[in-house]
Order: sequence, then C-alpha cells, then structure tokens
Amino acid sequence: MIEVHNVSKAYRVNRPRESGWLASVQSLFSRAYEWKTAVSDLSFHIKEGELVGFIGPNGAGKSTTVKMLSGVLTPTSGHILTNGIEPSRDRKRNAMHIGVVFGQRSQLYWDLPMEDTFKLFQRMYRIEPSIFKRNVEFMVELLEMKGFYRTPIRQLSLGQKMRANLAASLLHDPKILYLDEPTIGLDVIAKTNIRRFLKELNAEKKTTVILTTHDMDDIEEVCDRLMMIDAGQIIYDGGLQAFSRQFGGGTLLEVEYRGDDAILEDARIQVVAHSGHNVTYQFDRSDVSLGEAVSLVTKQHNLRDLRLREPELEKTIGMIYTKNKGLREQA
Amino acid sequence: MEYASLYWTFIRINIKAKIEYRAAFLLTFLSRGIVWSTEFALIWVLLYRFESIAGWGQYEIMFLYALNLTSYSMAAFFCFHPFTKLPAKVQSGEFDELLTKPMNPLLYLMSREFTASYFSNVAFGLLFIGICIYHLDLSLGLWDYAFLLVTLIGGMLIQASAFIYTAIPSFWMVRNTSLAQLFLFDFKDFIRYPVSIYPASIQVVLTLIVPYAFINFYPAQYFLNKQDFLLFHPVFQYLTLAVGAVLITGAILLWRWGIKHYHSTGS
Amino acid sequence: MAPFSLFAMFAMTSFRMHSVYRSNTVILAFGSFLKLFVLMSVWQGLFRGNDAINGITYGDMMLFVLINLLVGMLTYSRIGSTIGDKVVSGSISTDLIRPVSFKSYMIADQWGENLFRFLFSAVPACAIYFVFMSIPAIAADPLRILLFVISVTCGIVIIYHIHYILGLTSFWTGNAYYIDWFMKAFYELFAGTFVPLWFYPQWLLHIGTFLPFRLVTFEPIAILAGKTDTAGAIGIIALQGVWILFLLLAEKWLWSRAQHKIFVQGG
Repeated sequence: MIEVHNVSKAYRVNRPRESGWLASVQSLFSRAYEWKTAVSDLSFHIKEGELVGFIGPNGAGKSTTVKMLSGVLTPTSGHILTNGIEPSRDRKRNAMHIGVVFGQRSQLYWDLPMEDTFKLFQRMYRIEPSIFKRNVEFMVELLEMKGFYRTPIRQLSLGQKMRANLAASLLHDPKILYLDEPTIGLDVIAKTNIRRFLKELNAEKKTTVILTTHDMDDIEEVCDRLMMIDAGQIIYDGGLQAFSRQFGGGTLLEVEYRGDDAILEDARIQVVAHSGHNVTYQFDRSDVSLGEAVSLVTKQHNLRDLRLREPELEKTIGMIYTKNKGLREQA
Repeated sequence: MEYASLYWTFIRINIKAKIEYRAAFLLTFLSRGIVWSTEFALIWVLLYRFESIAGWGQYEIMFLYALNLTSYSMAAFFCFHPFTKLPAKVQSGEFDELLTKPMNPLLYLMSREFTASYFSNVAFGLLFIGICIYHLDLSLGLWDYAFLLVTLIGGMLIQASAFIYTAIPSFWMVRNTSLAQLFLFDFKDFIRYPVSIYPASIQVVLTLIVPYAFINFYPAQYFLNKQDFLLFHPVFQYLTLAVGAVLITGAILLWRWGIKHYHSTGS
Repeated sequence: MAPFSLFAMFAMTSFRMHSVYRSNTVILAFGSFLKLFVLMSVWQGLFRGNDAINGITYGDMMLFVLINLLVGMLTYSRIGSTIGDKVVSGSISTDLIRPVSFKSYMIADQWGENLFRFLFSAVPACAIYFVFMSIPAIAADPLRILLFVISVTCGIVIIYHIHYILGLTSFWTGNAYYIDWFMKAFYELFAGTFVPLWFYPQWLLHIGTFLPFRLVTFEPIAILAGKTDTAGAIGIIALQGVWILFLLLAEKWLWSRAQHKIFVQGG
C-alpha cells in the first residue's frame, strides 16, 4: 500500500536577519537561506489495513513525512509509492484515494452545516449518489453526529468539529487516511470516541490509517504498529509490546524490605532505585520469568510489600528523547 | 466542463453562507456603497472649481474612476480573500491541506474563498459608469457596449494578475503584506487621474511595466473620443484585453513555479 | 505608576510592535511617497494656467498636501473598529478587568502606532520629496506655529474621541463592520483633507461647517498656511474646545450606559 525507499527531505529556512536599517533594505531584495534536513534516508513499507502511529519529538520529521506521503511536499531524493501512485508526481490522482485531516484546521465551511460541505465534496471527489448516501449515514451513525448534523460549524465544540472533519475526509472511501495529531486539545471522552471510531473504520473498511501524535494513549488504543522518528530517522519500527521490551528496560518490581542490606545480586536483575528499605528492580522477562524473579527477591528476606509494574510508555519515550538529544548535543 | 459545474457549486455554497447573515450582508452593501459613492463624489468636488485637469473634465475623470472600481471589484470577487490571505495561510500550514485535494490549487482557492459581498462593489461600479455615460451624453451603440464589456474583462484580468503576483512571494516564505498594499492600492492611486498629468517616465512605467493605464486611461479614450496617447500609438485603446491576457498567463505560470518551489522547499 | 508614564509605556510598546517588520517600513515609506507624488501631480495639473484660485496658489497647495500627510498620520485611528471587534468577539471583558482606563489604553495604543508611521512613513516620504522635487516656502511666524500646534493637538483629541464613541455604539448594534467604512466616508467628505474646503461648493461647505471633521486637520493647516488670521485661529481653537467638551460628555454618558449593559448582560 505504501512504499518508501531511501527518502530524504531538506528544506530551506531564512537565516536570522541581521539588525540594522541597511540590512532590512537588503532583505527586500535578497535573503540568506540555510538548508536543514527534515528526514534522511527513510525507508519503510505499510500494508493495506495497517494502523500506524508516528511518534517523535517536535521537529523530528513526522509531519514532513506525512506531507510527503500525501503529496504536499516532494522528497529531495528517494521514491514514494502509495497505492501504486507517486504522490508528488500525480498529486491530484493520489488525492482521490486519500483522506487527510491536519490538526484542528477546518476544511468545512464555517458558517454552514457540515451537510453543505459534504455535498461539495461529493462533487469534488465524484462520489456516486448511492455510495455518498451510504457513507454519510455510516459516518453520522458511527460518529454520533445526528444531533448536530445540520448545525453551522461555528457553533460546534472542538470535538464535534473534529468528528465532522474526519467524516468529510472519509466520504470518498479513501484507501489511506492521514491524520496529523487528531486528538490534540480534545477532552477525554472526545478522544475516546475518535479512537474507537478509527478502530471500527479500520475493521469495517480496511482503511489504512497513519497518524502522528504526542498522546501515547492514541498509540496504545488505536495503533498496531509504532514508528518512532527522531532527528529525521526512524529509530523504532514495530509492535507496541516489542517497543516496551526494547526501550522500557523490562518489568519493574518494587520491593519494601523489613531489614536493611537486603539487595539481591543477580546479573539478570538490575537495581534501578534504592532508598532505605525500598528497592526497585528491573528485569527482562525473556531472561528471567516473573515467578523466578519474585522468588529470588523474596527468598532470603522478609518483605513488607511487593508491587509489579510495567514501564510507562510515556516515560520511556521521554527518556529516549532526552537521551538522543543529549547524544546529539555531545556530537 | 466538469470543472465549471464544480466551481459553480462552490459559488452557490458561498452565496448560501453569506445569506445566512442577511443583516450583515446588507450592512456591508450599505457601508461599502457609501464609501464608493463618497469617493466618486469627491472627484466631482475636486473638479468643481477647476473644471478640468489635463483636458479631462469632471465626469470624464469620474468615468476613469468607475472603470477602475468596476474591474477591480470583478477581480476582487475571486481574488481578494484567496490572495491577500495566502501569506498567512502558507505560514499557518493551512495551505498544505489545500494541496491534499484532487483539484487545481489556484482554482480551488479562488472558488472556495470567493467573496459574494463584492457584488455590491460591482453594482456600484456599474451604476457609476451609467451615471457618467448619462452626464457625458455619450451615444453608444451595441458594439460600443460590447467593447465596454471586453474592456472591463481585460481590466479585471489586469487587476486579478496584480493580486496573484503580489501573493506569490509567500511561497518563498516571504511575509510582506506591505508589498501587496503597495501594488494593489498605493500604486493604483496613479490611475485615479489621467496618466497624462505625470512625467513621461511615470507614463512609461504605467504603460509598459505596471500597465495599470490599460485599466482605464487608454480604453476610456475610445468612449470619450479623446486623442491623449502620450508617447504611444492610438491602437493602445483597444489593447486592454490583450494586456490582461498576457499578464494573467504570466501570473499563472509564475504561480505554478511558486507551487512547485513550495512542494520542494517546504517542511 | 503614574498614569502618564503608564500611558507612555503602552504607547512605546505599540510603537515597538510596529517596528518589528522593518522591510515593511521601507515599502510603507515608499507608498506614502507615491501618494504624495500623485497628489502633487494632480494639483500641478489643476493649477496649470492659473496663478491662484479662490486666493489659493499652487505653492499653498504644496504646503497643504505635505502638512496634510504629516498630520494625517497622527490623526489616523482604528480605535472605533478595534473596540467594535472586541465587543463582538467578547474579548472586551478581558480589557475591562485591567486596572487601567480602557480609553487611555486604546488611545495610547493608537498613539504609538501613529508615532511610528509618522516617523517612518510620512517623514521619510516628505524627505524624499524635498530631495527630489522642491521645498515649499513656509513663513515661519512663531505665533502661527504655536496656534497650529495647539489646534492640531485639539484635532487629534477630537478625532480619537469620535472614533472611540463610534466604537462604543457597537455595544448596541452588536456589529463592528460599519465603523471604519462610515468614518472613512464622512471624514473624507467633510474633513477637507483630500480636497481643501476652499474649493468646496457653497452648499456642501455649509453642511461641513456644522460637523467637527474640518477641525481635525483642515483648520489647523489653514492656520499654519496663514489663510486664517490670529483672531480666526483663536475662534477655531475655542470651537475645538467646545467640541471636545461635548464629545467628552457624550463619551462619559455612553460609557456608563455601556458598562451598565455589560453588567446586566454579562458582556
């Protein structure tokens, strides 16, 4: 469905201006630019019906990648094929097969109900009347929009607007749906609604969904594949559980002993925190089974309390960002 | 043809949105009408004591104003919002969304952001043309009216090109709203009056470089039976449409180049 | 902080905000110069073959146009539409919780912008004109200059208050759109900034006499140009005083009504 081969993208930024009046007159006629790399040598494949989440810190290249996939930007080098089409070469034909929602920007007419924009999109995407009718019903039903289907957009809440935008971008049965931060700024219920909808859409229509987000719950609840981009490169591509295993450092075991100096020494089990009677161990379950770890920890000592915890995704990712940034700054 | 009907759908939906606010629409109509009428009347006041400037009388100069206003409003219908807001759109990323639609971005912008309220400007412009024709006692035949229409369309193309040219720098991430202000408004102050009052160098600029003189000064002479062609040939009075066509072609080519540039340098 | 230094702070902040885009400033100055150039050409064209009309010479008009550009920058105001927009969007409630007078804040903000445009648009434009064209003769009579400065200051106070009052009307109309357009129309027609009132037809002049607009820039300039004698000048300043008093009272009354409206309806 989506094939990306060795794609790099450089973009131009205005160099910060020098101050002074002469410089400002000069800047009218010529400007200084700098080239920056947004993404470099990106390669990946996405199959039909996959739910893929892009994560990464701000400016890592997530949005640039989505814009290249959707045909907004042309790669500086490399090839992209989506649906057998090269998006930058055949932008309009590609656009017929994709749905796009970029953040909170509305593609809907502000003063009119969504119904009117939908009809316009029907013509723009040349949607058959019967299919159009069926899809509108499907969307209104699944996104629970009956109550505000005929209300002017400007009167809708942020969550309602987002749902309307989602529906508008799906009327033509796109094979791929690109979402740039679809849940940003929404309340918990609205977020849950959107996530559930994406799952159902994917189950019902086999739509491939690619979303960028900063919200790990989006990933956990929607995506079955996670791609982490940092500094323009993919640093992880795979399933969610494998991600936790690889970066999370393993299962955490928090123990409170009755006596001091009771730290277990075992090469497979690390001590990650130690203060007074409290010790936190971490271990990889492929090295040590949970049962064995617990029995090792409890064997010789009296315990007051014991807790088992999986590493939090959010924290893990924060740690990776910080670590990579530190490495880059050193280099 | 399929495109044409799609654009018509866009225009209908825009009008529909405007009609949702009937009171505001009416207020716009009224307040703009008052401003245009004031400007129109001020020319009358200006020439009340002096009677003429460079051989052009009161209503002849008002005719220049009316031609400019009408063709400007016809262009602003499709161009004002799309192109004056483009720099902000590019900067906010809203423009990216436009590029994910299966349509030509120029036409999509022009039809989506089409501003129905400029209807009032066109109406007042035409009214002013009518007033001038009446007061000057011009006896125009059917062909003359046809030529008037051609002239207005040519003027519209020139004005539309001005909108497009001044918006294109935003593809290079240059945010300079005063450039648009300069070419769309300040520079057009020149053609409120007969171009013959300016030094020869300005006449050349207004004819060959920023050819605003074709919007009103040259074609008006056909209707007013004048021979005020400065350094140039009388054939210039017929050339408005041709000049407009050349300019708009250039504007579209430059626009395409700008978009291409944007595709490859944006982030 | 003393009220005046607070006022100055607000004005300076607004001044600095407008100086961020320097390249815009260069174009802004060029645009002002173009306007100046067009007007000078027009008056030159109108005076061609006449030494003086109604006792006014081309030299007088040059002075008028130049001073008008400078003073016009200081009397410019968006206060009305800014208040209107704040009322319509509801953001006025955040302005009202600040521990400063809303009116002073609005005026300080406008004053900062105007000072910026005066220094970086009007002054350079006049300078370019002096360098490339000519310098009009001005009889520097200290008394006249003093009277001019007093009446210009009064004029600025008058126009800011008119805008402010017009802005307050949006509490009742619930709309801001008409404010700028109505102001533009009435001001252009009756202020005598574009066509000096010397050249107005008698009947239009009569209407204008009863309105405050001519007191904003036209009458001060007439004083400076020596077209109004000392007694007449003092009469003008007295009339300005009466208008200021009237506008202040009107503004106080409207403001108390508006506040009442906010408290009753919750903004």
